[in-house]
Amino acid sequence: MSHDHGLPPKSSVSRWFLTTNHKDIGVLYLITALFFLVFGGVLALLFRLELISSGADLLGSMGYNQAVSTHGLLMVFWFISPFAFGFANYLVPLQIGADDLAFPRLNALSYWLYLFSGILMGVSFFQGTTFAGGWTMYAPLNTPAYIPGEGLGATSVVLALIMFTAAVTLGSVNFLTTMYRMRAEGLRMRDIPIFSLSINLTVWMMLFAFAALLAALMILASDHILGTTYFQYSIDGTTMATDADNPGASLLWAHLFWFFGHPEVYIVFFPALGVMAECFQTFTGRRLVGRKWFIISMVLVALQSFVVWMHHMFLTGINLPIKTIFMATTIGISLPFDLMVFSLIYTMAKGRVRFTTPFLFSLGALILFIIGGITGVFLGAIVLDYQFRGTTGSSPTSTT
Amino acid sequence: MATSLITYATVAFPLHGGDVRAPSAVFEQIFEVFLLLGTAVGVVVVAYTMYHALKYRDDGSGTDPYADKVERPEMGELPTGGTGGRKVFYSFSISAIIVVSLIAWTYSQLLYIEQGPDPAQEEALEIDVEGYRFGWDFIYPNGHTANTLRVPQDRVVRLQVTSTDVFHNFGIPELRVKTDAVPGQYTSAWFTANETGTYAAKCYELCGSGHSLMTTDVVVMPQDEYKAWYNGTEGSAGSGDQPAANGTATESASLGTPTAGDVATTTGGAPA
Repeated sequence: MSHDHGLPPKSSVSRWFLTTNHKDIGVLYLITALFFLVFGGVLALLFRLELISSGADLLGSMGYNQAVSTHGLLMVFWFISPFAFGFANYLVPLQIGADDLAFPRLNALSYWLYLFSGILMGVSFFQGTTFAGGWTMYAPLNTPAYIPGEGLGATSVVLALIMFTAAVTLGSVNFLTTMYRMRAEGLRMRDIPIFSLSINLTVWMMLFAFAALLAALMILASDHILGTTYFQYSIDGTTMATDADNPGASLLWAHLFWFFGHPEVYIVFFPALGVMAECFQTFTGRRLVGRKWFIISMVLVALQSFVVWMHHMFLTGINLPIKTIFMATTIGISLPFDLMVFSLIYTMAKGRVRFTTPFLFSLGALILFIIGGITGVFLGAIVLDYQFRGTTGSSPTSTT
Repeated sequence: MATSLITYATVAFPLHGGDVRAPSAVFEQIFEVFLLLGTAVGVVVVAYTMYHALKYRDDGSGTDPYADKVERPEMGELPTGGTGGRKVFYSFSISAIIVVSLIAWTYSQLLYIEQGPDPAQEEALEIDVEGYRFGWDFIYPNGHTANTLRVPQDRVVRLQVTSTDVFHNFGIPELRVKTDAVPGQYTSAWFTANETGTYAAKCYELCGSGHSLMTTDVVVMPQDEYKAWYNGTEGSAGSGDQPAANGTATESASLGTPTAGDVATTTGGAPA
């Protein structure tokens, strides 16, 4: 018997505004995330177009910085994770034998907060200038003192991020409750399919990582709206005084941001890893080799992801013992991934590998991941990391 | 190879920096080893992956060549692991040994970069670097401030880097120097340049609309030329040589006196 929620049919527009059904919301997430992919993608096209000639003649220098910054924020926050959560909404209840998520209305609320936070991002473009301080939003460039004009657009971006974080946190609680309380009878946590397991670990990481981001964003919003100076030195007339009593302002942001930012790397990667593992099993006709160790590796990565953040800050003058610790944790976190890669490779052995489109994508992803993993280890060698720092994409995109 | 490097770094040094192993040399060596080994490992692992994908591809004949050897997963079964886990651990162990030993090898090099060449340190030229939107001030021991960094050839140069506004990052890519310029604190970096010439210094942290223009020249001069130039700057302590157009002149002057919390060098103003 199909679930009758008393909703209008799918062909009716009102259905999509009223729905609390996990499949419907999954579809909404997928479509909305694709919209933000195009939004962020067009911004990327704009700033690549700007780079055709050396002068700032298309967007202007501030326009360029706005395009780069919001492109990064849209892709990282409003596209990648929500796209994965479209699949998670649709599939997790089916994979664990639940009727729906534990709190269907809360699930709808998560979606609508996500959508409205993204719309607020769009609105910020029409409020003078939007945020232009890079997707890592380093302090004090992210504070009103360094934002030309009224800074209203940048404030909207901060508020949009807070709203997005609220959506993520509600979603995390919802998924965790569902997975721990609503599995089919007799289904142990370790026995749920690997995609659902990857989502489980993703939401655990989200719950803690986004809390740090929320803290940082709330005091940043206070700097923007109430005029506090958490992330800048006190203003002495019109010049910034370096000898003011807040010398840790820049590093406060960097620590809070990267404490969120590194788990975020795995938050965006884990759902894809889960999809890869499912596709490998399905299209090779083999069970995942060393499944138990694959799962243990994922758990280790999820835990370790909270103790590697300072490898994004190797040049900030941190002392040698701390650098050494973070070098060790960085290398440490690459090892479970090694195991997962070999597990996927050996899953193909004695299989009947069908080269369908999903498998081609998964195999391509595995090969990219192998190359990315090898070059990622380069960054674990701190002397190399020093020089790669600040060059294209090295700090945010390395997976190790 | 590693032991020879360590001895290289610890032998007694003559009193000039020409024999000091420059950070750029350390970087090049590690990079070459990583590039070669990384490429080799990458080729092997990717080839191994493709070998498995192609060897076990479904040939479309409808018969399963491994039907009697393996059990295929059934629709609706509880997920369990497949066989062959031991091979995973062998492969994993090999890769772990390679990774850990590579990083351990680079650790001794890191210690060298972090501490700098000890004997030469006495002789090092100390220069304060202040980033501002959108340029750099270089403050010499005699108080001379300039927007171009002039350093003598073959001498250890130690930089104390800070910012007077937002987060910048000071880097000279060709000389493999890079460090964050964080407002409110100092970070340090060192280098030696063995060849004279003009190099580029750049900002590596997005700092606003003029970020990509925040470049300046680093001029490496022969030692005697440098000495002559440096002596010519004597007595111009403070902002005398500061270009008038530079709006930060007053700011820089007020920054000449480090505050309690700072770890600034106290050599400012003292003759070299």
